[in-house]
Amino acid sequence: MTTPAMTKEKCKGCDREIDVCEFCEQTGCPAAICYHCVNRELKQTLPQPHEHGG
Amino acid sequence: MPQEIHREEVRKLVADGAQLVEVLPSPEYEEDHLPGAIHLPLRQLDARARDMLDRKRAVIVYCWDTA
Amino acid sequence: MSPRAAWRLETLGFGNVYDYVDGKNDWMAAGLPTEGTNAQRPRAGDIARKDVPTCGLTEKVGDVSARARAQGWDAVVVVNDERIVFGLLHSKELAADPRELIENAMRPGPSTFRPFVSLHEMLHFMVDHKLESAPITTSDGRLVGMLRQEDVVAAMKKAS
Repeated sequence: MTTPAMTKEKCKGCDREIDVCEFCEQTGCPAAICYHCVNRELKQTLPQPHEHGG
Repeated sequence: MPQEIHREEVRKLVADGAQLVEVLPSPEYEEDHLPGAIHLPLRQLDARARDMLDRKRAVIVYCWDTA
Repeated sequence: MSPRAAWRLETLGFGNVYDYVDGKNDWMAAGLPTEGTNAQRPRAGDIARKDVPTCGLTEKVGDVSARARAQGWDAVVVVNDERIVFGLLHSKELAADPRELIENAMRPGPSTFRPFVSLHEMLHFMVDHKLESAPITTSDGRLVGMLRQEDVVAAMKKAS
């Protein structure tokens, strides 16, 4: 019996592969998002580089 | 050389009369700024700092974070 | 930006210049007050329920579960003496073997959110991700409270 390969999620913000949605921590989340993108979208950080020069 | 400080030192210096200056652009300042902070965007520093700030008092500048 | 501003001010003749390097993000993440248009709008930290039950790593699931039930909650936050968040227990974890240690039963290292995040954004995320509640912490990792979706909806209705 073969073990199914572990499917990684893709971040809806940046398309990078992630193990689990960093917002809800569920696998198979249809809106899966990575740590960096969730922080940016919740404005917990500013996008880099800053428009105004960083 | 400007001294790097953290949150508690900011509070102490402001209580001692330091001028607090946010150097981010307008929308960022208008949405949220530290209580009592003066708005002096980085691009306008050269033109306006001497008029807006008292050189005899300490000045604390800040933006969004270390990035 | 602030390092460049600080150095420039020195060359402009300012002798006593400090750079608050951690900036506004740090200030707000610590739950400190701000002024401005956003300061009037309710944020996650304002609505988060401070009375969410908490427990320690070495307690037993059975005791914690009973306590949570008595308080009318189906979620418990695992913290240390400093209220630093270590884990979460929802219904599934609270239904584990009552003799089990919290440390083994909990969901470790949960996603947490800052007090200053807007309710509008949190609600959008909570609905999209079907998340009923989310722990709110300061940048030090200290628990502020538990933000419940139903409370966010109620607060936004009240504010509109």
